[in-house]
Amino acid sequence: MYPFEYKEAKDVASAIRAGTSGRFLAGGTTLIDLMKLNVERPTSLIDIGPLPLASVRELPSGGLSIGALVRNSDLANHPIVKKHYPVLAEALLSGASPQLRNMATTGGNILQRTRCYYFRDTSQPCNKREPGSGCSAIDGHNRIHAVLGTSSSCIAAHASDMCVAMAALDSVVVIKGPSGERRVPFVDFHLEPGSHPDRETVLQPGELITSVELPNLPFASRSHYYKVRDRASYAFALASAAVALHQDATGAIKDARIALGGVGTKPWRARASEKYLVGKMPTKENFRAAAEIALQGAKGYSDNEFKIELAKRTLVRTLTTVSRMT
Amino acid sequence: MLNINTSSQNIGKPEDRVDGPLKVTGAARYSAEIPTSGVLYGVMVMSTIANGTITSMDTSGAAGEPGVRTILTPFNAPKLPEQTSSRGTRVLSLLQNPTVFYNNQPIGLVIAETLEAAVHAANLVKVQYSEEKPATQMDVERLKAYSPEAANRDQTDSLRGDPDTAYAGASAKIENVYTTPVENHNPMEPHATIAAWDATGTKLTVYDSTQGVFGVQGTLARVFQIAPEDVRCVSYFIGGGFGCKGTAWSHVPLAAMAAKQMQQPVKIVLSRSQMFGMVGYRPETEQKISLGTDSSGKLVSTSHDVLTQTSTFDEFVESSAVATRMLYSCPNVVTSHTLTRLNLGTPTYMRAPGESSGTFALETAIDEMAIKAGLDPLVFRVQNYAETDENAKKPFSSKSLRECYIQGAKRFGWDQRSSVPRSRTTPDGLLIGCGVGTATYPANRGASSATARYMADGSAYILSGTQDIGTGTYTILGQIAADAMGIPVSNMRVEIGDTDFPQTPGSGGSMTAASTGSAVLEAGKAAKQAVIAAAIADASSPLYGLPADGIDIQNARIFSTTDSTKSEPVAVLIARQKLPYIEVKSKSEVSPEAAQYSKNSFGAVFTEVHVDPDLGIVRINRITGVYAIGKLLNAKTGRSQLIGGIIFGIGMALMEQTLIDPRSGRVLNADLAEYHVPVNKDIPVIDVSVVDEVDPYVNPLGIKGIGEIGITGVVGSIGNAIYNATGIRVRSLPITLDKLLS
Amino acid sequence: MNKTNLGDSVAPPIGDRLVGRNISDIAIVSHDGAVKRISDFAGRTAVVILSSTVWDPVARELNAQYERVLERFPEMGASLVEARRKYGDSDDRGDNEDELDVSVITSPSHEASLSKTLGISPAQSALLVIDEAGSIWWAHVFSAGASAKPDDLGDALHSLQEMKSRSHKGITRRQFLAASLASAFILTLSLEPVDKAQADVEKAPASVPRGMPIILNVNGEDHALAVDPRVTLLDALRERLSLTGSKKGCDHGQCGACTVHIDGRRVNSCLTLAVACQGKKVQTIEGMANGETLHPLQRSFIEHDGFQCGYCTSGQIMSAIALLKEPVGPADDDVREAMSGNICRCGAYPNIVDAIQSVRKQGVSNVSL
Repeated sequence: MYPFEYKEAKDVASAIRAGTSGRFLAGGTTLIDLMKLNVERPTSLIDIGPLPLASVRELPSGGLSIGALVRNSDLANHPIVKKHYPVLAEALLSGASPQLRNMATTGGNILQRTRCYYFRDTSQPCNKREPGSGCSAIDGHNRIHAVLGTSSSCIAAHASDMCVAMAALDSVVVIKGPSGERRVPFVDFHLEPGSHPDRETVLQPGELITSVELPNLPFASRSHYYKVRDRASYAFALASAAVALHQDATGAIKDARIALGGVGTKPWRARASEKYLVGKMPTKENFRAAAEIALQGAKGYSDNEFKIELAKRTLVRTLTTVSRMT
Repeated sequence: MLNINTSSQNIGKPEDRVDGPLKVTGAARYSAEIPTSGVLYGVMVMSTIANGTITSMDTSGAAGEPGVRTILTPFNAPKLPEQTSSRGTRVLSLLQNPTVFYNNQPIGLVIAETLEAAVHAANLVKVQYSEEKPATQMDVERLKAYSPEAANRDQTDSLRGDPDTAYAGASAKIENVYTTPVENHNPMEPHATIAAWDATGTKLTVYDSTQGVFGVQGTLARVFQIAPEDVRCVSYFIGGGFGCKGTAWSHVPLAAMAAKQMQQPVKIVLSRSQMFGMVGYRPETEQKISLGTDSSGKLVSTSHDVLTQTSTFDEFVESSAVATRMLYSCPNVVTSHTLTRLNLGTPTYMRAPGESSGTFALETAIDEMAIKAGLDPLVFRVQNYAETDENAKKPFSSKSLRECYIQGAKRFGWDQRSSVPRSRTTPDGLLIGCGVGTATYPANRGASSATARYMADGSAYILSGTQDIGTGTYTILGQIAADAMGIPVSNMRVEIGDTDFPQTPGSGGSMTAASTGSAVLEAGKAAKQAVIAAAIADASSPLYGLPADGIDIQNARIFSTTDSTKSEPVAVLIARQKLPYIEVKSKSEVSPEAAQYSKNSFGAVFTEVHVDPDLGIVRINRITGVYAIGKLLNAKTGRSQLIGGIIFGIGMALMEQTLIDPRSGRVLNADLAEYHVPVNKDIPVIDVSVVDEVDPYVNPLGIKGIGEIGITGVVGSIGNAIYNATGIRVRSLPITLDKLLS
Repeated sequence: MNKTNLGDSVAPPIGDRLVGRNISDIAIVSHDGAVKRISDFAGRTAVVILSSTVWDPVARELNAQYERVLERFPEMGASLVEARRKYGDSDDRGDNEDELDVSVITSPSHEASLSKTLGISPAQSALLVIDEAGSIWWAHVFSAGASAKPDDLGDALHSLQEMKSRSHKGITRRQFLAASLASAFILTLSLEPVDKAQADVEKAPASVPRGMPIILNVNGEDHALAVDPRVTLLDALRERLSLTGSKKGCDHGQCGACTVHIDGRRVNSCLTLAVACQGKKVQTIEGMANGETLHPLQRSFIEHDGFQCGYCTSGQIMSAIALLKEPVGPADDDVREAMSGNICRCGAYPNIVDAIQSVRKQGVSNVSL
C-alpha cells in the first residue's frame, strides 16, 4: 500500500476543500481493498465518518432522503425501505456479507468499482486503470463481464446490487462540491466506458455525495430484487433484476420500473422494456418480449454469451414474481 | 492382531476436542502467532511472467522504504547447494538463478521491521525480464505429453485382459471425455513460517504451518546441508492443509536463509494470492473413459486414460485412473496416465489426489453406462460389485460396500427416485433429481512412533511428532492412549507437532490415525507393562511379587485382577520410585501380513438436488453418505471429518475453478471472492453414518483413514443427480449454471 | 492522551495496584503436588510469570523461549522455575554477592493462589518482579489472550541488570521502581533505546516511521500506540497488541476470519484502518469469555463440534455473537445466510448452524460485557 496522510473531516465544507487533492474514506470496503492491490494510490485520505450524513428521513414530497453515510445494513433494515421500497432492501441484503454491509455506506456503494480480474491486477493491461494500455478481458477470461454498454476499450461489469434498485426507482444523487450543490438523476450518475473507461461517474474532484433521494413512488412497494450467482451467497451477480410493477384491477400493467445488474457496464435501466409493458397483461409472453427488448444490442464475449439469455430469464422470473405479489 | 488387555472405554466415544477451549477463545496459536523475540517480516516478490529470465531487479526504490533491512534477489542471495527432485520433496524457488518457470513464482524477498514496510517494498521492486512464450494450456501441449514413471504412489499404466476386443463385442457401451479444472486448496490459514537460528548460527528452529514437521526438517537439512538433528520444526496448530502443506515450499527455506543473514528471526506469511501457484494445486485432468457391458449389464470392458499436467521443472501426477482399476468387477481393464509440462507451478496432492478427480469421471461414466444398459444406477453398481481387488489380485482386508449401498439407499429413500429426468418437481417448480456415487480411498499406513509416559501426579502424556491439521489428532490419540494406559481421558495430555518428539509420517493420505494411532497404542501398552513391572519389583507396593498377567491399570489405579484389595494409585507408585515419570517409546511398523490384503475404505453417497429449470441454479437439497471405514475412533470428530469431505466435494462439483489466462499464465481469480468455495448457505443437512466393520488386518486398531474419502464419490453423485433432474449430462467440472441453461 | 506513555500496553491499573504488595506467604502449587511459597525464594529476586489456565502446547514453547532469554543474562544466574515443572530440576542457585539471583517462576494462573489474591483473572497472563523481601516491585498484567513474550521477560530482566550495574551493594527499591518504569517504556515501539549501545536483539524495534499516535480501545482497555496509517486494525491487533485471536485469511474482506465488533457491530478488521478506530469500542474474540467462563456460543461450538482446524472459528463466533442481536429469521436457512460471510474450508457449516440455533433456542441474546 502506498503511504498516505490520514485526516478526519470536521465538516462538509472543509472535507470538500480537502477532497480536491485527497480521497474520501467512508466504510473502506472498496477503497482499502483497492489500495492493498495498489490499484488506488491516494496520497491523502479524508475520513468523512464523523460528518452528519447518516440519517434517513422522509421528504415533504413523500420520498426518502438517505444520507451518504447510512450503512448498507441499516438502510436494508429501515422500516420505510422495507415497506415502501422492498426492492432496495432486498438488493442490499443480497450484496456482500453481513460484516461488509455493516461497514459499507450508501455513497461508498454507489462508487464501488468493478470486480474485473484484470482491473484488480496491476501486472495486467487495463484501460480503466491505465488508459491506453489495452483491455485484457475482451480476449481473455470474461465470464463475469458485461454484455450491455461495452466498448472496444472496456467490458467491465458494474458490480453493485443497491445501484440496480436505485436506478430502477428513479433516485436522485445529491452532490456537494466546490461549486455548490447539484442533483444528478441516478441513471445519469454512472458513465458507460466508451473511450474513457477511467471515468466512471460524473463526480468531479472535491465533490462529495451527501445523500440519495428516493421519489414518492407508491407502487414501489410492489417490487422485488432477484440475483443469480454462482453460489448461494457472498458472490457477485451473474445477472440480476430490480422490478416494480403497478397493475390495475384487471392485472394490466399501468407502470413499471426495471433495471438489470451483473450485465451492464453501469446499473442498467431498461426504459424501453418499461414502455413496452405499459398497457399489457402480465403474461409470460409479454414478459419475455420485454426481456428481449431489455437485452437488445447486447454483445457477448467468449465466456459470457450465456449472460444474454440468463439476463432475459432472470428478468422474466422477477417480473413474474412481482406480478403475483398482492 | 486383535487388541487384548486394553479397554475400549474411550475409543468410539464422541469426545469433545481437547483443543476446543483454545480454539473458541482465540488462544490457539498458529505458526505466525507464536511469540518470538526480535522477529523481522519477510514478504516475497513474485514474478509477473510465466516463462523467461530476470535480466535485472532494481531494488533502490524498495530499499528506500523506511524500515526495510535487506532485499534478497537471485543476484545477491546466498548460494545454496544444488537441489534435486525426489519423491516427497519439491524443486523450490530459492533465488539461486534468474529463471522464471511460472507466473507468481517467488523471485525475491524483502525483509523489514514492519509488515507494511515489507509489503510495500516488495511492490516497489522493479523487475526486467527477457520473456518467452509460455506453455499454459494442456490442450495445446497434448502432443508433447509423456508417460511418467509412476502415477503418484501407483503404476502409471495397467492392463488386464483384452479390453479392446471386449469393448468391440459389448452389448452396450459408452465412451466419453470428462474434465476437471485446476483447483486450489485454499485452507483458511495461509502458509506461515517463523525461522530462527540459535546464537551460534548452526541450529535452526522453524515454527511452520505444515502437515509434516519431519518433512520440513528433512528439506531444511538438505537445503542448508546441516544435520537433521540441528533442525527443529514445530507446528502445534495448523489452519487446514488439504495437501498443500504436505511438503515444504519455497518460503520455508527462504525464511531460514533470511534469518541466517539477518541473525534475527524472520517471519513469512503468504498472502492469499500467493496461495495460487507456489504451494501446489490440483492439476487439470482430461479423462477418457469407455465402458462396455454384456447383455445382462455386467461390465466386460473398462478403459480410463488420463491426460494431466505438471510444471516444467518438477513432476507431480494426479493419479485419476487408479481407483478405476479395482472399484468394480471387470475382467478387461486398461488405464494410463500421461503428462504435459506447462509454465505453471508444480501441482501437489489435493484432498484425495487421483481418487476425487477420478471418481468424478468414473462415477459419471458408470451412471451413463447403467442408463445405457437400462439399469438403475444403484443396481448396476451392486451388480458389478468387486469381491476382490482384481487389479492387485488380492482379497480385500474388509469391504462392506454392499452394506453401504443398502443402508444408504434406505436412509436416503432411493426408491423415491424416478428414472426419468425432469419428471419430478417441488411445489415451487424446481426439478428434483437423485444420484449415487461410490466412494473409496486406500487405507494407508506407515511406520510411526510415540512415547507414552505415566506421570507422578496421575496424569499421562503422549509425545509424538505428528500433526493435528483440524483432524482431531490431539483428541483421538488421547482416547487411544487412555484406553491403552488405563488413565481417564481427562488426565491425558497429548503433545505433538514437534520434531523433538518421536518420528511419524506426515498428516496426509488419511494415514495418521492408523499409523500414529497404532504407535500410541503400542507405546501405551508397553508403558503399562513397564509400570506393572515396577510395581512387582517394589517391596512397598501392594502388588509386590505378584504375577504380571494378573495385574491391570484402570482409572489411574494399578490393581490385582484377582484381589481388588491389592491396589494403589499409579501416581503413588511412580512417586515412590523417586521418578517424575515412567515412559516407553515405541515404534510401530506395518505388518508384513497386512501386505497380503488390499486395504480400502468404501462408501455410498446419495444426493438430491433441486435445479431451477429456467435458470440452471443448482441447490443441493440433501446428501446421505454411508461409509465403511473400519472402527470409528471418535463419533463426533469423525462425523465432522466426513461431512467436511463432502462439503469439499460440493465445492469441487459446483463451483471451484482456478482461471488462468493462457497468454500470461497468470491466475486471474487468486482470491476468495472469485475462487468460489462453498459458503454456509450452500450447504444443506448432510447425513453421514458408518456401518459396523471389523477389519482384523489393516492395523491393530482396526481403523481406516477418513480424512479424504468424503470428497470421493460425492462429486459424481451430484452430477448424476443433476442429470436425473434436468436430463443434461455435464462432463466438465465445475457444473455451473451456464452449463445447464437448456 | 498521555504523551509520556507511548507503550503498546500501558500498565493497566491492576498492574500499578500490585506494586508494593507483599506476597511472601502466597503459595504456588508445583507439578509434583508440592506447595512452594514465594518465601521459599527469599533472598533472591524472582520474576513470576503467571500463564493462562487452559491447556496450551504453546506454553511449553514459551517456557523454552524464556530459558533462551535467561541464557543471555548469565551474570544474573537466573533460572527458570516452573511451578508446573515436569522434571526434578533443582531451583537452587549458588549465591554470589555481586549477583542478583533471579528465579523465573512460571505457573498456570489457577494453580497459583497468587492470581486469586491479586485479582488477576485465570485467563490472563501476568509478569511480576518480586524483591528479596517478597514484595512486588513491578507488575505487568496482560490482556486476556496476550501472553508474556520473551521480549517482555527480557525487558524485565534487563531492567534488573541496569540497576545491578548502578550499585555493587544492591539496589534500593526506589531505584528499582524507577528502572522498572523505564522498562515499561521499553515495551513501546516508538521510542529511543534506553541505552544507545544496545544491539541486542531483544531490544526495542526502531521507532515507527510515519507513526500516528492513537489510542485503541480493545475489550475495554485503552492501548496507546503509534501506527503507520496503512496499518489495518487486524494487523494492529495481531502484530502490535499480540491479540492474535482475530485471524488473517484473505486480507481483503472476502472470508470473515478477521471479524471483530466495532461499537457492537460485526465488521471485517482487515479493511478497517487502525487510525480510523479512535473513540470506538473494539471487541475481539479474546474479550468474549468472562474470565474462565465461556460465552454460551463458545460452549455450544465445542459441544456441537463447530470447528476443525479452528482458524475461521474466532470469526465465526464473533459473527454468531453479533447475529444474536440482529434481525435474523428463526429458520436454519436464515442462520445459514446470516453466517455466509464466514468461510470455513474444513466444512463445519452444519455444526456451526446447530451450535448457533441451540443457543438461540435457549433464548440467549445478551453478551455479558
